[in-house]
Amino acid sequence: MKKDMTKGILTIVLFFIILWIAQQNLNKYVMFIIDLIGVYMLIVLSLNLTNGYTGLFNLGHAGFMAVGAYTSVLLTFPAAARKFAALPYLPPWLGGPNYQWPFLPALLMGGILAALLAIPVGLPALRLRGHYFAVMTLGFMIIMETIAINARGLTRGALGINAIPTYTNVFWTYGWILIFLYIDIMLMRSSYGRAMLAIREDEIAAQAMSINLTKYKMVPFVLSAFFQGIAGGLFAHLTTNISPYDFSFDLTFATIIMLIIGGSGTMTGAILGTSILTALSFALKPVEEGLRLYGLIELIYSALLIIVMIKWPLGISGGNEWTLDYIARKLRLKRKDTYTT
Amino acid sequence: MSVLLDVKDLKKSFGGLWAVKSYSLELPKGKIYGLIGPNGAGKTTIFNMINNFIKPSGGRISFNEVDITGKKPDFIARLGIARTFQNLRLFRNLNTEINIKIGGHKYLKYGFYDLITNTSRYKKEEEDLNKLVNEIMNLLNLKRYKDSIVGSLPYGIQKRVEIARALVSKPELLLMDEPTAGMNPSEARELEEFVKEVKEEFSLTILIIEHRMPFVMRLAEKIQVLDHGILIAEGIPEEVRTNRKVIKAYLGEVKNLA
Repeated sequence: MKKDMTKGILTIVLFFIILWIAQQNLNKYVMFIIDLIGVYMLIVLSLNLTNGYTGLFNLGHAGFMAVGAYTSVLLTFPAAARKFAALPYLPPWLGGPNYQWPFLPALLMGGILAALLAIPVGLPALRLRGHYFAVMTLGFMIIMETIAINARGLTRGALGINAIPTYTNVFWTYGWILIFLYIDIMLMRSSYGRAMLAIREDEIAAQAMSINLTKYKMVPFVLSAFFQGIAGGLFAHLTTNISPYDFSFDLTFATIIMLIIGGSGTMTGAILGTSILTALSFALKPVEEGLRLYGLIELIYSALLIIVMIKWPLGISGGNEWTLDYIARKLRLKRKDTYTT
Repeated sequence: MSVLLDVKDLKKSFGGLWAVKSYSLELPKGKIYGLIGPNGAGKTTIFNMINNFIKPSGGRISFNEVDITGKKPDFIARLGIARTFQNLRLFRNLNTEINIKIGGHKYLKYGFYDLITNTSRYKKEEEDLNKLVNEIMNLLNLKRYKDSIVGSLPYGIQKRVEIARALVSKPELLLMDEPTAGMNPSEARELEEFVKEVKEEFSLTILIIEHRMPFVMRLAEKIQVLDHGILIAEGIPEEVRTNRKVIKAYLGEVKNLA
C-alpha cells in the first residue's frame, strides 16, 4: 500500500515535470491542443461517471458546461472592460462593480452552480430509464442553449463573449483531472461505486439489495455536473471566446463519441478516447482545409465509431483499466502465445 | 412463536385480470413454507408484491409487525427481506466478489466524506464486509470463482452466487423463487441439503416457490397451493399431496371418456 502510494506520487510528479518542460519548449499552438485535450478529458471522465458506471445515458453535459463557463466568465471579466463588452457589473453582494474575481473561486462557483442545477434537473430525469433519460437530458441541453441565446443582458446572446482573459494552462487542466481521478478511484472502491455499477447492471436486483436508486443515481449525476461546470470554466478561459453554440450538439456528441470509442465504464477509455480523437481532429485540420472537404473530420469520427463498435464493442480499452499490472500481464500473455505457436 | 411475515387478503389485478385474488399467509419465525401452483398461478406476483416491485391492489403486508405495504423496495430489503429471482438477476458483467459485496450494501453506512478522506470508519466497515464476504464464499465453495465475471460462469454456480448475495445481508426472511429451476436431480438434492444447512446457520425463515415437488415436499413444513390467484389448499405436505383440488389443478379433471 505504502509502496503503491510512493509510486503513484512519483508518477504524478514526473508527469507534471514533463508538462512543465513541454510548456517551456513547445509552441503556443501545440500547448493549446494539449490544454484542450485536458479540458475534453475532464468532460469525458466526468461523463463516464453517469454514462459509463451508472448506465445513465446523459446527454446534458454541454448544458452544465455552459453554466460553469458563463458563471466563471462573468465573475472574472476585467471590471474596466465590462462597459466596452456590454457585460453587467457585479452586484454589491458579489464584490461590487470594481471587483474582479480570482480564477479559482470563480471556477469553483461555476462548478457549484452546475451541481446545484443538477439536483432539480435530476429529480424528474433520473426517474426515467434508457432512451427516455437520454432524451430528457438532451432537452435540458437545448433549454440551456436557448437561455444562453436569449438572456442577452448576461451572455450577450448569440454574439458571444470575446476577449476573455486567458487563465487556463496545463497545470490547471491536468491538476483538475488529477483531483477528479482521485475522487473517481476512491468512489469506485467504495459502496457508492458498487451501488452505481449494480444500478447499471440491474435496477430491480439493485433495489432488492437495499440500494436506494434515487440517491445512487443522484450522486454521480451531481458529481459529474460539478466537474462539467469546472470544465466549462476552463474551456472559456482557454479559447477566450464563448458563444451559446459552443455548448451545443457538436460538443455533446463529440464527447460522447470519445467516451464510446475509448470504452465507456473505464477511466482508461475516457483518457484514450479524448487523447486520440482530439489529436486526430487537429492533425486532420490541414488535410480538411487543403482538400476543401469541410466535414471530413466528422465523417472520420463517425466511421471510426462504426468500426470500433464492430471490432471492439467495449471500446479500445476493452472494459479494462490499463494499470501497469494489467499491461505487464497482457505483454506476458502475448509472449507466451508466441512461444507455444 | 411469533409471526414474521403476515400477509392479509393480498390482491392484484392487471387491467381486468385478477393475478392474485385474496392471498393470506402467516409465516412464523424459523419455518420453511412452500408456495406451489401451476404456471401463471400468481406465485411470483406475490413475491413481487412483498418486495413492492409491483404495487398491490389491496391487502396488507407486515413484516416483524411493521406495515410494509407500498413502502420502497430498498427500504423493505433493508428491514431484512432478501430474495433470489426466478431467472437469475445477477450483476452479470461484474465479478463474483463484487456481486456478493453488493449484497452487503446495507451494512455500509459511511458517507461520501468518509470515502474521499479514507477515514477509519470507512476502512473498518469495508474490512468487516470483506470478512463476511469471505466467510460466505467459503461456505458456498465460491472462493475459486472470486475474480470470474459472473455472466461467464456455469448456471449452477451462478445460482450459488445469487444465494450468497442474498445471504450476505444476513436477512431474517429469504424469498426463493424457483431455486432448482434448470438443475438436475442430484444438484437439486445438493441444494436441499444446503438450504437446510444455511437455515440453521443463519436462523432464517424461508418462503420457497417451487415446481419440483419432491424438493419442496421434503423441505417445507407447510405448503400453500395457488391456482388462478386463489389459494386452493394449505397444509402439511402429506395433506396437499392427496388433496383432490390440487390434483385437479395440476393434472386436470378425469372426465368420463365413454
